[in-house]
Amino acid sequence: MKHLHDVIIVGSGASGSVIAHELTQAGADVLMLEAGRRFSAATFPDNELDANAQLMWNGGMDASRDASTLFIRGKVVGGGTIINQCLLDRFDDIALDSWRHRTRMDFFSSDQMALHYDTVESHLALHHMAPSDWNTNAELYVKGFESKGYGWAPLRRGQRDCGSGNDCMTCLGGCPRASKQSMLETFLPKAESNGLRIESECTVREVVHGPSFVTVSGYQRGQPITLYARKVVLASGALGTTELLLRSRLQDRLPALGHGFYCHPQWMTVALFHDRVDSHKGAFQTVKSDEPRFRAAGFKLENVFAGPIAIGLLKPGYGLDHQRFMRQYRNMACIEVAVRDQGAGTLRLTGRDRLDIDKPLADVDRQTADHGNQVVVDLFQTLGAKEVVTSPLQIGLHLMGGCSIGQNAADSVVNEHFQVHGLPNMYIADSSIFPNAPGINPSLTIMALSQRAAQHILSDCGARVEQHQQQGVSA
Amino acid sequence: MSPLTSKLFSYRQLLGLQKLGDVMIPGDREFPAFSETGCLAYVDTAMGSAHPDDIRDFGFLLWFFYLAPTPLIRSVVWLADNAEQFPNAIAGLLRKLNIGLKGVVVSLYYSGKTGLSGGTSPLDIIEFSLTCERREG
Repeated sequence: MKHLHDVIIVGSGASGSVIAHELTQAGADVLMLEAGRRFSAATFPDNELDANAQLMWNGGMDASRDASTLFIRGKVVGGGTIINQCLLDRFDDIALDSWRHRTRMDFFSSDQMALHYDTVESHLALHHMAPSDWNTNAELYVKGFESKGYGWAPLRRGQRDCGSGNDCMTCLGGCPRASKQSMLETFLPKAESNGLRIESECTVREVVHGPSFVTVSGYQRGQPITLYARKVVLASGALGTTELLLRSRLQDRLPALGHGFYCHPQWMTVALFHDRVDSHKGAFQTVKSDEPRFRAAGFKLENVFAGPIAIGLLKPGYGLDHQRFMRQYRNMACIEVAVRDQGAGTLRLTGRDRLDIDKPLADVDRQTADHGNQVVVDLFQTLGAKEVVTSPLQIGLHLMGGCSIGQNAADSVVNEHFQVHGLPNMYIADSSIFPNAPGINPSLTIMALSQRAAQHILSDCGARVEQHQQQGVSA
Repeated sequence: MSPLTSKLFSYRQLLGLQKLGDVMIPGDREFPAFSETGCLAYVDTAMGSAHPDDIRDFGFLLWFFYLAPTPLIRSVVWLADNAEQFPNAIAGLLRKLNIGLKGVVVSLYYSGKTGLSGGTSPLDIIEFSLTCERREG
C-alpha cells in the first residue's frame, strides 16, 4: 500500500482549511485534495466571464431540477471563500436554538459556540463597515430603511486592507489585494507552513471506509489516483460532500443522505434611478437589515449588486428591451431578498450519473419571498425609482444540508462528534451538516464548527499524533 | 467579425450561435450586435467548464439554430423567456432552455472580450469598469 496519511481532507473551503490548520498545528500528516485550480492574488481572473468559468463549478450555472434556482459554488483552492463577500456574522439565538431543538445537541448555544467563534476570529482581520465606506447603493439602502422605520446595521466583513478608491466587486472573482480574508489568505498558509500538502485539480469520486483506514479515489488532471488515510474529512460543501457519499453508495446505510437541502434562495431587485448610482463602485456591500420583523418573517434584505453578466442574465427580456435596460447600468440600485427557506430539497444521483438538485420553492417560502420582494419594491418606490424589476430567477449562494447532523442514522448522517454514523474514520463539518437553514450567512459558523470538529478528530487520534510530534516522523 | 474557431463546436454550430446571439442582442445605434463584438471567439471559455452532457446538448441546439429561419429562433427565444406563463412541467424545460441560451449569449456579450476584430465592447457602452490596485508589499 502507498503512503498512509493521518488525514485526507477533501475540499479546501471554510471547513477543510480550518480543520487542516488545527490538525497540522498538532503535528498530523494532512493531505488536502481540491477539484479546482490554485490561484493567488496576482493571478485571479480579471473579468466576470473568466471568473465564472475558472472559479466556479459549471461556470456558476448549476441549476435545480425545475431550473428555478441557480446554485453558485466555488471550484478553486480556498473554495467558496474565494468568491464570496466574506461577511462573517455569528449565528443568533434564533438559529442556534432551532438547531439545538432539532438535534438535541447542547453545544448549539451562543455560550458554547462562543469559544469556537472566538478561536477562528482570532485568525481573521474583521472590519465593521463604516458610513465612510458606503457607496451610493448603500446610501439609498439606509435612506429607504430609515424612511420606513426599518432597522439596519453595519456589516462585519473579513478584510485586512481594502485601501481607498478600490471597487470591491472585483473580490467576487478573487481579491487581487490579498485583503479579503479568504482561506487562501488566512488558514491555508498557516497550515502549509505546518506541513499541509495541497493537491489541486484533483476530483474525488469515491471514498471507501475501512476499520483502520479510508481509501480515497478519483482523478487528478485526468489521471486516476488512489490514496489512503487513517481518517478522512469530507469538506466539499453541501453539494460536493453529499454527491461524494452518494457516489460511494452509502445511501442504503444512511437513509437521510441527500435529504434536508437548503439554500437561502435569493431574489435580486434592480431599481433604475434618474441619477447615477454606480453600485459597482467602491465597497461592494456595507450594510444589512437588522429588523426583528424581517427575521420573524423569515427573510433579510441584502445590500448587493452584480456585474453586467449577472444583471443581464437575471433581467427578464431580450432584444431592444434588454439593451434599453442595460444601458442604464450605472443608474441601477439593488437590494436582494434572502429567504430562510423552510421547504427542504433533495439531492440524488441521476441515471446519467449527475447530481440532481430537487429544490422546488415551497409555498411558505414563496409567500416569504413575495413579502420580502414587496418590501423592496416599496422601498425603491419611496426613494423615487423610475422602474423596479425583480428577477424571476433565484440564486442559491448558501448551500446547506444533505448530510445533516443528528443523533441517529435514521434521520441524520453525522453524529455530534462529526463522524458519519457507523463510519468512525469519516468526518464532516462543512455546511452539508446544517440541520436547517439558519437565515444568516454561514461562513463563520462553518469555520467554528470545523474548529470544534478538529478537536474531536485530534481527541480520537491524539496519542498517535503526539507520538508523531515527538518522533518527528510521518506515519 | 472574428474568425470562428472552437474546439467544442463546429463552424456551423458557431454560425447557429451567432444567429441566436443577434436575435437576443440585435444591437442599435449604441450597442453593437452580438456578432459585431467578436465575443463569439470566446465560446470555449464560456462553455469549457460545463458538463460534457450540457456541451453536447447545447451543440444540438446550435445545429437547430443554424438550420432554423430567424423568425423560428425568435419564437424559441420568446418561449424560453416566458416560461412562467406555462404549466410547471413545460415551464421547467423552458427555464432550463432560457438559462442555457441566455447564459452563454449574455456571458459572452458582457465579457468585455472583443476578439481579433477589436469590435466595440458593450462594457464601454454601459461605462462599466472596476479598479482594484494590488496592495504594496
